[in-house]
Amino acid sequence: MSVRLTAISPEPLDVATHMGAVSDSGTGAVASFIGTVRDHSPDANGTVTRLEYSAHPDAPRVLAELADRVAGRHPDVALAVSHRTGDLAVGDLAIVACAGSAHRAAAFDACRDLVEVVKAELPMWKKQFLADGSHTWVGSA
Amino acid sequence: MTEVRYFAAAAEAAGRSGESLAAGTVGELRELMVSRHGEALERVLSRCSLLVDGVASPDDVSLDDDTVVDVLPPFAGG
Repeated sequence: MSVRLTAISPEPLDVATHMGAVSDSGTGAVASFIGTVRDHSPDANGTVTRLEYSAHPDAPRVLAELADRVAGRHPDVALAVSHRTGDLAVGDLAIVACAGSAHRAAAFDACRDLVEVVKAELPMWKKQFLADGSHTWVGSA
Repeated sequence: MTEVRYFAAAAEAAGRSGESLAAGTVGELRELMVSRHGEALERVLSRCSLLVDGVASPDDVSLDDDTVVDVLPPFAGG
C-alpha cells in the first residue's frame, strides 16, 4: 500500500519512529524486526567486538525501490525500514523494519518479506573487527 | 578509459577506492585488475559482481570510453 520511511543512516536507529510511521487510526497490528550486532559470526574465528557498515552511494535509492517492490506484494500494509552505516558496537541496531496493517498476518508477512529482500539486495557491506585485532569482510573471504 | 570504483573488501584488496584503466571488455578488465593488484584482489574478485554503468555485466560485455564500472563484493546488510 505504501512506503512511509526508508533511510540509510549514520545516526542510531529509533524503533519508535518506525512504528509511528506505519501506524494510523486504521492500524491494528505492527510487526517489527530489529537486527542487532552480535559478538560472533560464522565468518569469524573469534569474538566480534564491533562492526563497520559501508553503503554504495546508490543505497538510499535502492532501499526505496526495494521497499516499493515489497509494498506492491502486500496491499494494505504500510512499511518503514532503515539501515545503519558507520561504526556499530555489539548490541547496536543495524536494521529496523516495521510493517503496519489492520491485521497481524499481513503485517508479519510483509515485515519478513521486507527484511529478506533488504538483506539480499541492498548494496551494503559489513566489516567485522575481532578481539585479536584482525578483521573480516562478511561474505567476501 | 574506464573509471573503476572498488567497494569494501575489493577496495581493501586493491589498496584504493578507484582508478582509471584501459580495457576492451569486462573480462579484460578483470584480468588487468588482477595483474595490477595480485592474489588478494583475485580472491575477492571471484566473488564480485561488476556493474557497467549500473548494470551487472558478464565478461563478454564491451566497455566504451568514459564507462563507470563498480566492483561489488557480495552484499552483507542486515
